[in-house]
Amino acid sequence: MKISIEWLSDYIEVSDDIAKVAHTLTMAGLEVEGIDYRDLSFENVIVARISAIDAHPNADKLRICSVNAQDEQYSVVCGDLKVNIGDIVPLALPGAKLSGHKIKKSKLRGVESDGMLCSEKELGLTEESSGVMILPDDSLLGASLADVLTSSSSQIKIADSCTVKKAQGSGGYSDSIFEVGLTPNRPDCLSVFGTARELAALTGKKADFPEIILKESPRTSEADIAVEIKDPSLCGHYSARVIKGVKVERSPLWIRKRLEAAGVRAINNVVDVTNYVMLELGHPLHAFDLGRIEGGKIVVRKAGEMETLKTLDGVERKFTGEELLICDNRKPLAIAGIMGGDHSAVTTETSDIVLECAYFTPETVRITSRKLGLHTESSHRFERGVDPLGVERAINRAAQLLASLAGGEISSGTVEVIPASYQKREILFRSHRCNDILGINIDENEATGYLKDLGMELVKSGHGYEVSPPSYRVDIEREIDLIEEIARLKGYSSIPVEKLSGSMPSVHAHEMALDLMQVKRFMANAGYDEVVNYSFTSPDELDRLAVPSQDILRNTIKILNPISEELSTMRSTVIPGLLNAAAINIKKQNKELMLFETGKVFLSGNSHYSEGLRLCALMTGEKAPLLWKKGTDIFNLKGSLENLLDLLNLRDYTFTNCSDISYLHPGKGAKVFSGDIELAVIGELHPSVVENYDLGQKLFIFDLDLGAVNKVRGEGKSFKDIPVYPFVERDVALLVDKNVDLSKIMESFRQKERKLLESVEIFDQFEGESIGEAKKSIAFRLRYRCFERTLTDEEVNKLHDSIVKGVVEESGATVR
Amino acid sequence: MLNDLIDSLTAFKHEAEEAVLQAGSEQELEGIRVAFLGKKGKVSDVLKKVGSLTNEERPRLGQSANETKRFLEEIFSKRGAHLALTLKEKKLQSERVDLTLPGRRIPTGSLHPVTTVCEEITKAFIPLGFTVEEGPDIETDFYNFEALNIPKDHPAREMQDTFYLSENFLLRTHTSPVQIRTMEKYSPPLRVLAPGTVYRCDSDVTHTPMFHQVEGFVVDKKVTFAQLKGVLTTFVETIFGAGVQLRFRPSFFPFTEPSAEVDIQCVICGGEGCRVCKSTGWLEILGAGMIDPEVFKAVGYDPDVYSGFAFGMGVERIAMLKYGIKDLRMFFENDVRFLEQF
Ligand SMILES: [Zn+2]
Repeated sequence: MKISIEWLSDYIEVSDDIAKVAHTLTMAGLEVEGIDYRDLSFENVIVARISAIDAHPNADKLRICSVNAQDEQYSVVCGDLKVNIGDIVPLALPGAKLSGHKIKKSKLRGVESDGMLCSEKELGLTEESSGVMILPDDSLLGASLADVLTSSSSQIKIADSCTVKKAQGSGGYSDSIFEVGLTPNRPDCLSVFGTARELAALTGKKADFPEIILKESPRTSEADIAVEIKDPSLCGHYSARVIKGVKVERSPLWIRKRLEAAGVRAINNVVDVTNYVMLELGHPLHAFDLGRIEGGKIVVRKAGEMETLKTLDGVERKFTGEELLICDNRKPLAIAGIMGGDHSAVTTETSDIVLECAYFTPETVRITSRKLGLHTESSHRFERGVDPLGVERAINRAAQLLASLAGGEISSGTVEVIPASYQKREILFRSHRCNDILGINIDENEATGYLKDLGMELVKSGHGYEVSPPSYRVDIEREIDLIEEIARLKGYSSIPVEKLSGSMPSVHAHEMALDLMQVKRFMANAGYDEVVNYSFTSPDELDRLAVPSQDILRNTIKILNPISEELSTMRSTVIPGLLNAAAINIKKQNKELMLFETGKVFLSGNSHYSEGLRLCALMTGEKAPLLWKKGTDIFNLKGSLENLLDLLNLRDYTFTNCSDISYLHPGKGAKVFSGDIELAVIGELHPSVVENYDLGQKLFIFDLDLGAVNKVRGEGKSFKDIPVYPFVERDVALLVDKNVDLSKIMESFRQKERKLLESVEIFDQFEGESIGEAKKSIAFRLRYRCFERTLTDEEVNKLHDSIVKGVVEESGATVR
Repeated sequence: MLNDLIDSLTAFKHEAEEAVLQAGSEQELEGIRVAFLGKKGKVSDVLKKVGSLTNEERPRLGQSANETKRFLEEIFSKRGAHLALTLKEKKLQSERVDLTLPGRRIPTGSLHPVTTVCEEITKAFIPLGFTVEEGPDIETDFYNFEALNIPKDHPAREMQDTFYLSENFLLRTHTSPVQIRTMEKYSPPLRVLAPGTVYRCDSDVTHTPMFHQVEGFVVDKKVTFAQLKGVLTTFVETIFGAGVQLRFRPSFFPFTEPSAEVDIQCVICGGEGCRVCKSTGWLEILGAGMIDPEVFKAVGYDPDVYSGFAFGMGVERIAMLKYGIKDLRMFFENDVRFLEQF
């Protein structure tokens, strides 16, 4: 909400120290997010009258205007073809500065110009304007423009009962516009007067709204219009007033300037007045062309299904039946509290109007506004809650301004329907509660004083006070709301700073006791950089990974209102994000990469959504210095995974080669199991996926299910006795088919002997012509030990031979 | 005669001592040893003259000769050991390695700044007795809004543009639902921290549709706004250093009342006013307030018995201020030249 200080000064005496005013508001919860200082001195800009207009000898689009200011005569080249002889206009003479641009005597297409005739925009008064600004006829010729603007008859004409003070500063025309970031609980401050009222409470000054005196004609509003509310629960008050014989035209500068300062575009005097009063008092109004209302009756009702209305913005709105409409006997005229219809809008043809001011319930305006996706200044205020008792003042204020600006005759009285009268709220206030919550020790008089400053009525009752907040403070309903008001007025800075007291809470046992920080730190220490990706991705990612259509990863969750298609699907795997991170880095010449991400993945089930926690890591390029170059292969990555599983106390897991993971190289992929539970997949990225992601280099990846790991991992470390007796080792080299997995042979070793065979390690593996193309040689070192005694050579030899024999039989290997 | 012989033995000692010092190798030393102590050596030569002595004189010469032998053996072995050591040393010196070559390091990775800062924030609250709780990213309308006193169609919902998955399910817009879930599960006293990922339907230079938040809350009997100020003051001093000013100003959140926005003195300009703080000298870093009685009612706590406060902050924002990162979007671009700085 933009608040013009010049306007604010209509209702309250505002300190010259603008920054201090802003601070006062900010520290009371009306955050001033910015101040737009407008200081227009208009030096060397004077009031002049056009006395003659001649054609320019060298340009069709220019005119030569002779202008006079008292005794002085000037000849000015002007680009506005619409100026007329007799117009009173602002003339910028050499030396004037207009929006940083200095005016000089100059030749325009060969003709000397003594200065420049200015538009409102060129003067910095408004943001848009067409043509040279026309000043009031009675402006003093030769006077400085600043004097005319601050004291001209146009300003005095504002209102019979409302005088405008001259802007502060010498001769200049200055204003400061506050950008106030209002929280949704303070609709009472969505107006200049509301802000003045708040400032008064904060500073101990008074904010007054002048009394409104109307000159009413004998003809009544009732004679021309009737009102019926069909849905009284949605409209607590409807008031209509007729004004006849208005002349619809452009509003005077002062009103346009104030609208513009508030960020509202000026349209015509009738529409401008309704907007002006909305900005002034916070209560939206609407003006209908009386001639367009059929049957002389306004009906407030819900829309019919399939009913339509073309709104002021030119959009054809279709209704579902939920929306509250303002209608006549036959058709919709407006969407209640949101926007008027095109058909009944006030145009330059309009002479008789009906002013509407009403109280619509916040809920109905919210629902309709959301349904239609239509948010307006009016709906913004109704949604948050306008003053239920504010209708009368707002409609009369608008009538007063209209009569003054558009010259209409105000029909006497309003046509009013008030289905439910306003009920005053009564809230119990106990000052000890206030102290308990805030941690202060406030005097009861001080506390109640603040409440009174805010316009609340207090009645002493048994336990404390019955407090009635003013009608416009719709946010105050409970004792805690009163406590907040006291804290706000006293100032948060005056509340002391204290330590927590009370008992330490007991620590709760967690289901997910996995220490994610430990995992992350391990990965970083192992050389991986942590990346973070959005949880939503493009649905195409799964295609890029060639995930089959029946795969569980395809059970993705769609966002109904995504930012874009690229961010429309909750990720079911972390891999694409990591691959994209790799691709981006490779493109930027960072080709040596070790990356990891831990994060949630999301799947859609039959009746629920599930979330899983994953750790995904990749390795590509050579991350070691060139001097020590050694080929990175999948076993570097596998090593990290094994170390990590160790760290997480996972002991019983197996790697199983597999070729059925769509995004992995069919010959270089494996799954990691603990029993039947799949913990991870690991492998080299499939060459076509490398292409799909435009990676241009080999890449190794693993994807670990941290949730599954957490379910199967051990309790932690436990101590085992250190063996006393020595071990005995025996080596054996086996020649096996290339396709036989090591894990099979290892399993076979372990099954043969559990008690005395302490460990089996492989210490060499090779393939080569010398042993035949389809074969590989693996060398094992078996370690034997007994816990109770020293093993003899003979018994070890015997045991070893029988184990090797068994393994050879099972795996079809031969001993080398 | 005897005296002459003894004198010559004594002279050998000096002679040998000098000769040994000249010996540059073990072979040379051996030559000298043979010259003195060998079968035909100088000591033997003297002993051969024993025949010319009387019976009384013979043992005295023997005694002197033995003493001389011991002496000589000792200096030879000393010199021998010295020569062996020198030789070894020389050999080792020839095995020179250039230790200015780079070490064979395990490459070190880095944690994402969001992780690091999140951890730092958490650590600041642990000494105050806070424990960490988590909740799902996919929330229901009830936990994300209703229970937090944000009814359907409430204008406060506009403060948080929500991603919806269905009528009832959405991506949490804050970590405050963890407040509700925790209060449903346990009874007071509670001191809880809830870090996590949150989502808002907003994407521009200063907003990303996903970011990270840490929410904290305390519930007990007699918890006050003054204590909220105390806890957050401690926190700000832990993260930004002692002496950083902070101020509390009124604001509005549906789930707290009174509510506050917490500003710290601009860490860039020290409060003088700059672009980052929009010339105000202050930076907004936290939202906070006393837990609204409606929230307590939603979880079945009696607001007349218990009070509490809650606060929430954006992790990226704090990371930006701490590290001087100017562009929010860098957090999600995953450029390793960014990541490896942390
Ligand atoms: Zn600053």
